[in-house]
Amino acid sequence: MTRSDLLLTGFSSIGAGGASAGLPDPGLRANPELIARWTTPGPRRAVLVPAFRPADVVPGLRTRRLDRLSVWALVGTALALQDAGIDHSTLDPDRVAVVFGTAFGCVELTEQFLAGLRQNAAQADPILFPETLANQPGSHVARHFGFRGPNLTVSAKKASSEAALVEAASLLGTGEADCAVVFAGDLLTRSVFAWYEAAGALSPACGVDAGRASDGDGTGTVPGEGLVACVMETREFAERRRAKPYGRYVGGWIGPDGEAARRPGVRDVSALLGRVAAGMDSGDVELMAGPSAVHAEVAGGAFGGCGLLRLGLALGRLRESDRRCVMVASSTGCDQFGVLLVEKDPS
Amino acid sequence: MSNRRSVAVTGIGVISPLGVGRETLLEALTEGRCGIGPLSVFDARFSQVPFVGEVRDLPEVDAPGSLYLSRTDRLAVFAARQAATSLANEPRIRRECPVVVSTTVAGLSDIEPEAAIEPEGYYRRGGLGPASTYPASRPSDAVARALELDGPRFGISVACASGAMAIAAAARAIADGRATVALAGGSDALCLFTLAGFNALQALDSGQCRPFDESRGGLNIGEGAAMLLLEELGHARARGADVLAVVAGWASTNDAFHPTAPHEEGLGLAMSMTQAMQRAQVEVDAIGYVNAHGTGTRLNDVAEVRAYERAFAGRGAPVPVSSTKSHIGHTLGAAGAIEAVITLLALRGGVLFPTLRLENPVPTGSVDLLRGAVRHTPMNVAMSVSAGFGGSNTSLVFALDRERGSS
Repeated sequence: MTRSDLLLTGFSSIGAGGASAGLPDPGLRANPELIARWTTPGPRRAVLVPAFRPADVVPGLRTRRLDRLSVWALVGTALALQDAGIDHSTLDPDRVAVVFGTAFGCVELTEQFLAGLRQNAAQADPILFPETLANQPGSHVARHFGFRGPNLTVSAKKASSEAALVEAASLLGTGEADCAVVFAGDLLTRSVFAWYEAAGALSPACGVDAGRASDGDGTGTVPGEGLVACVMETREFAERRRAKPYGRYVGGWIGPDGEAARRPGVRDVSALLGRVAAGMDSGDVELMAGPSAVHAEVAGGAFGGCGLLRLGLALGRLRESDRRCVMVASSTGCDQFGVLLVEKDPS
Repeated sequence: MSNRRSVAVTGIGVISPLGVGRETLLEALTEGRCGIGPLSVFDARFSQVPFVGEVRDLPEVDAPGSLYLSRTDRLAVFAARQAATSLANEPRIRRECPVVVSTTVAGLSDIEPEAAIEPEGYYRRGGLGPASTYPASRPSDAVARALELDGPRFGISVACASGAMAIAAAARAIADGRATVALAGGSDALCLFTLAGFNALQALDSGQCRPFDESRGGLNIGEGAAMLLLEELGHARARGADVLAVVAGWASTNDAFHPTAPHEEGLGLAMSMTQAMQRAQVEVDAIGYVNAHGTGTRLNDVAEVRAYERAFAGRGAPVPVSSTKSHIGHTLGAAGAIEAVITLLALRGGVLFPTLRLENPVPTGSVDLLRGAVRHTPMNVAMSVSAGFGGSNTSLVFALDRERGSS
């Protein structure tokens, strides 16, 4: 397996606490709030992103008629670039990749368009239709910032972050780009929330009578929404611009077996390490798994954005850990698990 | 990268409006058959019945466990089973094999508008299964579960370049050592959602489409699926697999220009072709055939011809290009994968398929827009080109296995 020297240099998140640059706060806990955005069969709770004016965060940003996920992608990218100390106009636009991970894509406008088909499919909205496509958040970022490199949208349910990071690392490792903006996330709609409720997958914290074990802590899902973004660069590129990295990206993996990630032990750490960094001593690695990851999801960035949120927490943990590496391994509750490994930057 | 691993194609599965399997597809293309006709699988309630590329008599596909399979899932599983026949007795490979399947609509083919209007009632009335097929990752899950493939799996959704990008992603995984064998392709079913969308954009031809023709009036939506079994070349040879060709190069770019329109000069598309040829280490004269994106819309076809003129500048003879969307329609998330299969058929058979109904080609001095009868010309390298909404571009370069000669 080819090994690339890749650094993580910028971070941002959009969640229940709003939009912010930098690593996520490990102490952040968001209480599920009463849903008022749509009609529910009784009091129902979820972790939602409060409304904000994108132009207040990114001056001049025009977001009219975009899916909220596209708006968050633009804001999240701007904040992550700012955190990395990158002025996008100084980059070679052909060498910047954009990789987006999402479970559901632009589901809000998709539902709007789908609902309109019952009335009159022959008179559908031509502006709305293109904005329903899952790759629109990535293409809006490309257009706004002028990035002409590879632009990829991947979907792996709650392992979408991990899939996006693995693809971004591969694009940099194979020399197809020098720098990548990676973001992942999802938004919550009535249809998505109702699906979880009908499937019996919700936590009692959502205001339902009973939940069925579906997430790592066995109490059911608290649906949330949000988006997390990061900047990944080759070492050569980062050093040329004197970037201050949070850490080194060692590797990532998604797989179909959630058991190892849900109840990690020493042997499991070795097995998971074999996936992302064959030959590395497990004594060098601190594992973050279980409840800490689940709490992170409750703090925002749910569904497809969970893995990137965990990555941000791992990068924060690196500063305090006496180990060289931190690994986050999480069951996604959807028959897949994700593993990410980051290392203190030796330089 | 000089030390990167070579990627072989060792299996092909395809289902399209021209039928089932690569032999059927080759025969139909060689005979100049067209699979485009009036929509019959559902009623779009348009003033005029739209012309589409329909898969008639989609074979039954056994669902793995209790999994609900949408029409898109069934197309994907059907093509995947064809492509992966050589893995039937390879449990070690199946344990690690990644699955990458692209789509634009996924299960929207099976989901009623009620899911968005009154979801609680829709789910109570049996909509929970169809709604679960909505995520773009679903076709990859369906394929992995149906074929018992236990490696990483994910979906790719980058509009109409999706299928080519899925193949590029899988090839990259093999090239950088993350995988030895991977199954990749795309699938999309006809559905009201996309028909209504393209109709709203006034992008549909009211009859059969005429790509690259001066009189072209838009595209025809199609459906289908194609999957390729990709494999590290040395591994394929060692296990005696049928090496059909090599994925010699790939590249993806973005126009960063407009939500739906391509760059007028085809800059991004040209750049993806140039980078793919560089990666494949082939010169512009080496390309024997290009399977075009060629949708038949006013904007795309001119921009695309400009892109060929730019990417193949300096070539000795005009580059042979055709759009087989004139045979099967635009299969959206599956298009790049189905057209990769057609490119492989052209490469292996030395056949240049024409664009159907091309009478007055878009003016160009350096692009040979193929029309009329099928031509027979041996070649060693061929290219498939895809583009999509949001400015996505991907080019794939396929070559015959130079050392052994493709089987």
